[in-house]
Amino acid sequence: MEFQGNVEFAAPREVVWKIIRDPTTVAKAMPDFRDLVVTSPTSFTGSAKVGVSVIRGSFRFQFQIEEENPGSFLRLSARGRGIGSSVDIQTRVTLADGGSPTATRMEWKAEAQVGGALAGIAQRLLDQAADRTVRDIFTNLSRLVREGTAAGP
Amino acid sequence: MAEVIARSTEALVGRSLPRREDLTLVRGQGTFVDDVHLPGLLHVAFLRSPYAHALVKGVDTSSARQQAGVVHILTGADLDLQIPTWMKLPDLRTPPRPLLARDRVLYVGEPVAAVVATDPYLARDAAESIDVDYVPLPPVVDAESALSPSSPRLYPEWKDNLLIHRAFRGGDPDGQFQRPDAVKVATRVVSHRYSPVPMENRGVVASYERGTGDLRIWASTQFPHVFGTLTSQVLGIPEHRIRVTAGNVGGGFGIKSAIFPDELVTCYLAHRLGKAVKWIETRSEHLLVAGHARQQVHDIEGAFLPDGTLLAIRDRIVADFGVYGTFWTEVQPAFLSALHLPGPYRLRHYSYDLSCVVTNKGPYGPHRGFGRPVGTLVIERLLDRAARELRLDPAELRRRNLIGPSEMPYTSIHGITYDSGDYPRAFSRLLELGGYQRFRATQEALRRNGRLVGVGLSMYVEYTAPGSGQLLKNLGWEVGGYEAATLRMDPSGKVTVATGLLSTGQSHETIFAQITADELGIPLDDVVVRQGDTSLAPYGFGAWASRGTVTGGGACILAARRLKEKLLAIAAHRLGVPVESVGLSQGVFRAAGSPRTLTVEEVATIAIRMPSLLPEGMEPGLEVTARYEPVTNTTCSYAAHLAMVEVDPETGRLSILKYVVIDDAGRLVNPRTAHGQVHGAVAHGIGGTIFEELRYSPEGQLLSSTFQDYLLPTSMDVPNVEVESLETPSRNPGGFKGLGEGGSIGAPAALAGALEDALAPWDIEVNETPLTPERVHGWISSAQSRRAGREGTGA
Amino acid sequence: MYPRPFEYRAVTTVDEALRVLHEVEDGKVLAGGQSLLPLMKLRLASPGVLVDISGIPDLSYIRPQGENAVEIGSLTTHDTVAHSALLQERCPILPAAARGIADQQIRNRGTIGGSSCHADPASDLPPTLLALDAEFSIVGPKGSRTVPAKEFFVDLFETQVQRDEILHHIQVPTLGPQWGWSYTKFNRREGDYPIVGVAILVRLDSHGRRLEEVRIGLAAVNPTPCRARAAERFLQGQEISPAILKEAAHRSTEGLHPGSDMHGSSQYRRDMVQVFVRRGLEEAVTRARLAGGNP
Repeated sequence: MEFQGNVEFAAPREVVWKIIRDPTTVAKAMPDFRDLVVTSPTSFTGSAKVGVSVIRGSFRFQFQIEEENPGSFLRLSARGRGIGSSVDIQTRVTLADGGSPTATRMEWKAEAQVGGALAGIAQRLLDQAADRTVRDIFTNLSRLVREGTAAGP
Repeated sequence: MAEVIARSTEALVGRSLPRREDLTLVRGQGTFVDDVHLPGLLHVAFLRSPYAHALVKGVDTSSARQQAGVVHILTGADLDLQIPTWMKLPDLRTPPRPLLARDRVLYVGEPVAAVVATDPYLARDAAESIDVDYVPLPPVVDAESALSPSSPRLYPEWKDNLLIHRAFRGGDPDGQFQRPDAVKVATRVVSHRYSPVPMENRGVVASYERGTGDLRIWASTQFPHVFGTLTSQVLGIPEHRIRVTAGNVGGGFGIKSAIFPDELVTCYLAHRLGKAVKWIETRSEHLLVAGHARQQVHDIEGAFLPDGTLLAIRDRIVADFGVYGTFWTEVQPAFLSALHLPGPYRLRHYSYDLSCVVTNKGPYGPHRGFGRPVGTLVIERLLDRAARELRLDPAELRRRNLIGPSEMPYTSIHGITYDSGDYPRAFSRLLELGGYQRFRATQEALRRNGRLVGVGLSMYVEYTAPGSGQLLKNLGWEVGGYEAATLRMDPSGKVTVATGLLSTGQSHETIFAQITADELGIPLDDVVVRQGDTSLAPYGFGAWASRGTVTGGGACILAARRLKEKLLAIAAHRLGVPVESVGLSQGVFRAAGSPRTLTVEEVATIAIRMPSLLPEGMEPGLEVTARYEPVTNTTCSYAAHLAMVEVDPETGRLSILKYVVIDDAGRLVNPRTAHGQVHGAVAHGIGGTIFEELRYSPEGQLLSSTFQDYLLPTSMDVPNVEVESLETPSRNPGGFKGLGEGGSIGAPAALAGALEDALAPWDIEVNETPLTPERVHGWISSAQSRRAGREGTGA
Repeated sequence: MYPRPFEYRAVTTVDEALRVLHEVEDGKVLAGGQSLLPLMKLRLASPGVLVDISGIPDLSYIRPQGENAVEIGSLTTHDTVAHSALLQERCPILPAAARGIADQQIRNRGTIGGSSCHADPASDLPPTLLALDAEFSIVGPKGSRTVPAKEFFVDLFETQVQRDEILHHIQVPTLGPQWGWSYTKFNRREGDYPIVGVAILVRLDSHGRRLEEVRIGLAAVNPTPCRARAAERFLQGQEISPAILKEAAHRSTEGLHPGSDMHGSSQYRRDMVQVFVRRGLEEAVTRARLAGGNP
């Protein structure tokens, strides 16, 4: 399953970069994120409750920054396991100059693979539930960036 | 004298007596595995792989071990046991079949760890908190792509993904294809993956007693003795210390003549912990791992004469075995597809190339019909294509190729003897009962009104009850084809029949009693049938290959004859008459020319309690064990199926208007239970052809792992099935042939044929199952676009 | 099929239900349990506290609200809806939709309120209630409020009912004789979730020739049950003809984003919406004409 979107922020790229590169931002964007542990400069772990409405379960996630080009590109993998299922998400975030000198345009693409019980039992709903979940995460992320940039350096 | 006996005996065999099993089952008094409760019983839950293909870097059970109620956790690191094969073919690769995954997982649902806890809830909770470090690998999901050299491999030690490759050539097919008068017809038939889905899932209760060293096992199985032997072999527990009991088995459909890692792990845990443990499979577990079958692709071509005579067939088969073929049937289901493909049709030139391929899916198991449904589907699709190309009526084309009664016994191109039967008679009766000609006349009128209706025909020959020689010599299978029965008469003259066969719906308790009572000459009520307990019954191989009535019935007949011989000798001795003059009927011994009679009870009492009254030197007791090895190498049943369907052209949804079966399973012991099996099997075939599908995503995830998506046919989806039987006796005692699998063999072909006939105005080739509304709608839409395209270009 | 641990609280009054929901952190209302319990047994849902409201006696009823409406208590079972003489007389589309839900055992336990609050996009009642312009009365700590159907269904499995609220009742209108209706559920087997579900209401002019008003509710084609507004607008005021109904069917897929599953791809669902909107319109029009004496 693939999802993508884009959003523009009224802040320069280095400011936006700093926020999205921060594991705590990712943690805050995930639903009910707990137990953030930064295990290395490019990896961190934690658990989140993923799902839609009542169909929701706790997943332990391992995040790994697979590739980065500061200020412009980030590839982040998240491998989650829980409720007899696996969720593997590859995310590519690209930052580019926005419409004005102080604006940044963020494009994101996420590729999700779901395995185990969720894939086998909830296939009827999986497309829409995954779409909803991923969109929620990026909506949160955009909000966090906006809040972070509004707060000023 | 003989007349006296004949007059007083009303034969039980051949009568539609009510099933003895039903009163227990419909009252909910059956005993299934989950009904077995033992003191201190522990519960097993499995953690299964969510990945189709991954490395296992580590299994962390530390937090699970801390959880409430957890008694033990077992991982692949704790045991290195494999399931061996009993099929010894020199070219068959034997993939590892570990009881728990060790360094790799190869399919979604593969057991990775087992948790033993004090209740099933806690076991499941703890299993969920085991942390496995997987590194996903690219999965192999499509069997044809798996043959490409660039495909990832399941077993790194192999050079490809081939379990076995077989090439067969009989006659001179290439020569036939080159004949100038040969009309060539080619098609590609894709049969999908589906599962037998018994109502009772698998399950095991195992209890180990350290004092005696006895391991008791209750299992939902079709072959308790084989279960015991394999358990002994894998776990190293002496076989005489193992007792396996199968109570009521809630359906087998083939898959319970397989043994899987989870069942053996449960037995292992009982032995290791010295406790009683229970594992009951969930429906999702069942759909993930048990009974996957039927998935094959056939690229087939036939050469025909213009009059419809079938000259030769060439086929290329790719069978998708998933991770491996299960114990004990291995690759046989695919072999049997190719073997059974010619069916009742005269075929002297046949070649095929069969590749059994491994992929990252659940293992390929035995499934009622056992390869034959696919073989039948494929040849019937070919015949329908040929009829269309040659502009012949499909019934007429079939009729011209049927093997006639004068050709019996007929030796097939594989050297298999078709022992008896009248295929043309069955076929013409099918057309008559199904109203074939009448339907053809009305079909045109209906089409003019926009109604898409069609009729499909299929016919198959099923080799049932294979003999030991056939199994070992031809299939390399170290399995007996005989079956045993022990008849024990107690002092009151009542008889217990014990057999290693096990009824999973075939009414053995009824029919073996009918056979035995008839043969002995005692009332039906004086016979009880006990099955499914290795400590009661002589070693038997169980219910599979539609063999129960032939082999078990044969054993009952032989044992009853011997027992009766002894009873007659005692009666003659007591009556003071020559043994030839004594007869036994309705439980009473009478001698010609003598007014004196003796009851069975009197004779049995003497034989057991007063042996001093026996003839000089006669051994006391009334117990006989006999084994019956089928006289024919394999007994051939056959049937002809006719289906009529209607398609909604806008949605692609199919409805079945009529279904007719003409069946010949030799002499029928109980026509009602026989027809019941045909009805059930046709329902099974309808389910498999239209509704049921184990569909995998490109990532190797099983998408249909609950009954919300794995659609079984309901009473609303199965029409009334009209069944009529011919009874051509076999050469086996009793004249029986096998029956249990039949309906599921004929249905896919008949339904696909009916759909193609309904869609004939669009010239659509129905060559892929299941026949889902969306697929059929897609075919219709493409045909409409093709037609629109032709019209658009002025063609 | 063993759910994770959960706490179970059975309540017998609406006030008690609201109090418990307010007290607990991870509470989930249990009504008939026909959607929630299977999800729990499959471990896809694991609420901390189940607040069982099925024992509240005064939430199960069907009663007239004047001449023009019927009020249905949220704990009324599908079977009761299916066999209600009052609904059959005033709002027959609802019993028709209820009769097609799953199987008899589920209809005996499942409730109209539970089904509405669960908001499964493939359920039969929500699109029907949408087409009816039903009104949903919700009670919570701050009192009660009424939400129109078009606002009630928010997103996938999400409605206006908040965590500390419960749905009290649903009000549906009385359909006059000029109305025709149809509910069509297209599925692979009887009782399955629909591949598409189509609820249709039409109101004809007195001659039975013109469509005064059309409402089309759809199931299983969007993250929420929805209305085919473009088709409705197109049909309003039109003279009925096969061509018009066909065009409306075509327009009924506007704005739909059906998901795909193994029983129907997104495209197939769009195709089937067209087929069943057209057939449903034909059926509804026929009914309206018969009822209005214009066969």
